[in-house]
Amino acid sequence: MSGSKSGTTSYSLTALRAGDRAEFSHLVESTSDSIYRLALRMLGSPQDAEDVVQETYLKALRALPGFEGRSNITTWLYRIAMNEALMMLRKRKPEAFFLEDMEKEDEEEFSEPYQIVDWCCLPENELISGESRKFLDTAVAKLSPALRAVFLLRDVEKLSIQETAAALNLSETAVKTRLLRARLKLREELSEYFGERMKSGLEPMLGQAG
Amino acid sequence: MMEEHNCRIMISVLGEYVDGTLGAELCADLERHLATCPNCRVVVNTLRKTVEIIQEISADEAMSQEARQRLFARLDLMEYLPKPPGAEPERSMLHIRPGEPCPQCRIGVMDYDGMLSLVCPVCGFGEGGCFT
Ligand SMILES: [Zn+2]
Ligand SMILES: [Zn+2]
Repeated sequence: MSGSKSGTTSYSLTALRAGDRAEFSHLVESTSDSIYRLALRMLGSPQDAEDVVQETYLKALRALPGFEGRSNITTWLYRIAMNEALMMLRKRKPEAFFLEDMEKEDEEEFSEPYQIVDWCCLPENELISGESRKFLDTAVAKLSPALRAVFLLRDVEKLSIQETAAALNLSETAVKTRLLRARLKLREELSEYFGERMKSGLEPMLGQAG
Repeated sequence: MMEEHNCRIMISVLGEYVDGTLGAELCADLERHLATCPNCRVVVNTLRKTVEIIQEISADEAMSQEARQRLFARLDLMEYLPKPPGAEPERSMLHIRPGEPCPQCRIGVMDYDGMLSLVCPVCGFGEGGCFT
C-alpha cells in the first residue's frame, strides 16, 4: 500500500520553497484526493470539503517558503487540512466540541466489547455494497471529531502513529488510545448491524453452503 | 472470574495487536488467551474486518473533475491541470472560433496567440504544430 510515506512520490523541497509552480501542481495532483476524502469525512458536506481543500493549498502555498521539512510534506498538508476542517466543524457544530470531555475520555477505561458475533464470513458484496456502505459512512460520521480525526488519518489515510500524532499535535499515547476507542466503537456498530443481517440471512446462506 | 478478568486486560492491547506492533511478551500473553477464549477471538477478527472494510469503501473516493478544475483555477495552476483519465474525445479545432469559451477548461476565452494559433490563454488548450 502506498500508505504513510505517500507512496514513493517525492517532491523537491527546494523547488517547492522557491515557488516552482510545476512542482506545486504535482504535489496538488497527487495529494488532493486524499485531502478531499479526509475533509469530506470530517465535515460530511462536499461543498465544505471542497472549501477546505482549496484553503489548505492556499495556506500551504503561503507557508511553503518557511517550511522546514522537519515533518514529511504530506503530513504537513494533512495537518493544515485537519486544522481547517476542525475550524469549520467548530463553526458548524459547536456542540460537538467539549475539550474537557475529550481529555476525560482519554482517561476512561475501554468499554468492554458487547457484541460477540462473527460476521467476518459474510460475503464481500454484502459487507461493502449499497445499504451497508451507507451504514458504514454513518457509523464513521457518528464518531466524535476527536476520535474520527485519529481514525481517518491512521486507518483510512494510513499514516503511521507517529505521523498521525504530528498531524494532530497529540502524543503518540493519545493517538493509540483514541484509535483503539474509535475502532472498538465502530466494531460494536458494525457487529450489531451485520449480526442482524446474519440472522435474517442465515437460512438461505446455509442452503447455499450445502 | 479469572477468564473475564483477562478479557478486560486484553482490550487495551488489541489495537497494537491488530497493527502487529505489540511487544513480544504481551503478544504471547494475548495469543495464549486467544487460544482459550472464543469471544476474544471474535472481537479480534471483527476488529480487523471493521478497519479493512472501511478502508475498502474509502479507497475509491475522489474529487470530481469539476471540483479539481475549480481547485486548480483557484490556485492559478490551470496550465498544469491533468487531463481526466479515460476517453476524452478529441475536440476538433475546426469548430472553435475566437471569442468562444475554451472547450477544455471552460474558463478561458479562445484567442489567437502571437503565432496566429487559436489557443486558450488559461489552460493552453489549442492548436499545436502547423495549421493549413
Ligand atoms: Zn477473552
Ligand atoms: Zn482553457
